[in-house]
Amino acid sequence: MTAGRSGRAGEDPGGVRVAPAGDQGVYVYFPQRIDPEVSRRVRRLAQALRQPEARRRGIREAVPAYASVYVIFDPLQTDHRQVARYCRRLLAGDAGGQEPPARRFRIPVVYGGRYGPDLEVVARHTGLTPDQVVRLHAGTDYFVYFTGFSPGFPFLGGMSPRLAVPRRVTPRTRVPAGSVGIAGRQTGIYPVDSPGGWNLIGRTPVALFHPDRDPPALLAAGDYVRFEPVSPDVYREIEAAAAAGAYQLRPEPVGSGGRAVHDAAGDAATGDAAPGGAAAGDAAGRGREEESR
Amino acid sequence: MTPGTPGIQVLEPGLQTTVQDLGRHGRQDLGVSPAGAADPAALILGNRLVGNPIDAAGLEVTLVGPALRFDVDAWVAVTGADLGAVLDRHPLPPGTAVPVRAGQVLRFRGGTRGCRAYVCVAGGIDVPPVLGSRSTDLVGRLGGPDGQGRPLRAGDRLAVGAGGFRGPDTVVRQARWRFVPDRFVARVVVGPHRDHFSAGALETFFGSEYTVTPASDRTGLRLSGPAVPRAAGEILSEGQALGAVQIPPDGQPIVLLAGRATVGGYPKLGVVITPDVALLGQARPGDTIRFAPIDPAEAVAVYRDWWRQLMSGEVVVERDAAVRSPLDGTFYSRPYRGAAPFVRPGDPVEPGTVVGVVEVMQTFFDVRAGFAGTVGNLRVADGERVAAGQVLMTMVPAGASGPAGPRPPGSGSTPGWWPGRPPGPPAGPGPRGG
Repeated sequence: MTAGRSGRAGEDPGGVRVAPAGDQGVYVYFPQRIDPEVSRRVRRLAQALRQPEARRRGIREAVPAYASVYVIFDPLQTDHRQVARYCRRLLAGDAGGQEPPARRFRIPVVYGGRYGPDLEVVARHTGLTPDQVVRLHAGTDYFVYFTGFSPGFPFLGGMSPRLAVPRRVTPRTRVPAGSVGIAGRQTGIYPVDSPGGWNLIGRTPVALFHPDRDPPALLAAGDYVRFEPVSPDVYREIEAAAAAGAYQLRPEPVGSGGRAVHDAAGDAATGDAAPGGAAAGDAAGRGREEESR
Repeated sequence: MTPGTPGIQVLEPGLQTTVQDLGRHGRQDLGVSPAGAADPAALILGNRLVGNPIDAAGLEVTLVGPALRFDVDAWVAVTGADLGAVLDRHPLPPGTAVPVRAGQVLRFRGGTRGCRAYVCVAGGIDVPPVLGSRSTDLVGRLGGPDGQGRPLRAGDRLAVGAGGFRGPDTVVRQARWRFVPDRFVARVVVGPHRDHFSAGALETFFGSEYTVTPASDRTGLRLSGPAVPRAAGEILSEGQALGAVQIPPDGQPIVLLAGRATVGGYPKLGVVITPDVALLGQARPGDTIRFAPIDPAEAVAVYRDWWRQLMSGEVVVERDAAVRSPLDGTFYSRPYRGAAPFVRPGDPVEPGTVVGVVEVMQTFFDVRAGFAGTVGNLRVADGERVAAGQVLMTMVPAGASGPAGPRPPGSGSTPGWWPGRPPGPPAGPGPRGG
């Protein structure tokens, strides 16, 4: 970890900075990079901020992202100064406790055809065959940094840089839920029907979000995802089973003591094993074009 | 709702009418937008007027209102922007709760100030809650009439919950609150990305006037004005504060409102304080906005004062809206047989306007309106015998204005409904940690 620049207001030696957000929030910033170790610290703080003790102190919500936690508080009960102090105390201690063991979800995807109308585009752009694109995309574990933007949308790390393709010039007005796409160096799954500019290479029948489920989002920060190519027949079977309420995607534990597989070239394996034995080899050099779908 | 359950029938949906409460909180970490009323103060006061919990669901009406037919008797308040609400043909001023009878139709004739009106009904709009809220999340597709996150459509039927104000229909309840400011001045806590902006950038932002563009919606106000220069490059995606002032590469600010996504990646120059975000919910395309810096500690003080006022007894007043007979006699609604009546329902009256006469032994006593407003319902017919004190008709007072004039800045804490002190000099060094 890099030492924080000294002399800056609000900055800690641990590289943590707390900044105000209007009249009812603060941002806690960790070193600003996409890095599983930073992500682990983010998750621990967010988890600690969801405990009853934090609630008693007037903290209402903690929204983790790559390298920050947006903390919302009740201004009738507390203020920026007290919340900042409490966050620092949590960071200094070992708050948050043990992390749950890492899980891996194998998400079935039909690649190409009408399910992934841009597979050819991605192949042309990357100089690969469609088959190679699928093998690369489905051949690696992706790390869920956090969920956000829309209900259940996972911000995934770990895509091979060889698959990087710019966003479409003209966004589609409607992208069906379950579409798997690539934009820049990012890959993701659209949880709900929405407009979008990503290149669509496939689609999954698995619902990433269902308000009646507990928890409503399938994926959580710290999980791993692996895409599994399936046929349109299997897609339809799963779709029918899901509609009948008879389908549930169960995660598998990520190998005890083992490491999540990352065979994508260019992904520097970093960091120590997280509790549960998982380490994500996702890292530095990832572009910051994960914005705006 | 099941067909036949009494409630509200949507005859025309309006431009964009959505069910909103105070929002779907606590799941932003899953990407669930809080949604909720764009002007929460108006929704809270509407709910208070009809005796609901402050977080009951109402209808958020945008610029062009719907036509709603009530299948049930209910107390109804319209708050927020004056979009020309009329109940049958009676004008319903903003911030007024009145009894509505089954069969009556609430329409909106349009207005020129403010963007969003709220229709609150005693008992609340009872659509199925999703993740603890009835709010419509148009982007995440949650909540609303069928849980699918859509605006109202013609033919929708909305159930009305139990409870709320059921008082006598001779009273009128009014909010003393300024829903739409004369000028929009939004106070901003600078940060979190203070470092992305030069002193000159802050000077431009706080020294300029910005115009609300038609691309604005529930997710945010897209502004147009002098570009705010910023450091190149984006930031890592992070949580999105309500009221965040984002500066995209073109330098044109976007202020995030209730319907925002939970995550974004533009640098935030600052965050508008909650009481002023509520006011910005009333900014319509073409309105101009100025921004003024405020430090975090003062922002919390302003919030507390705003909330105290919003919850106080003095902002919701109840008054007797009945015009009563001064004595036993015969009521006449017109000066002589065959003449036009003194007043009809919906007619405007001033204090002292003659609204009828009561005759006793060939002597005629004028019945006069006690306050400015419009005539509500006539309760007795022309020529009917009446007793002293009997209700002859009801009145709807003209729209209540806010408390008499803003307190001057600097005298104690600033009242929350006041749209901010005049824009001061640009911020000096940003607040701590910004």
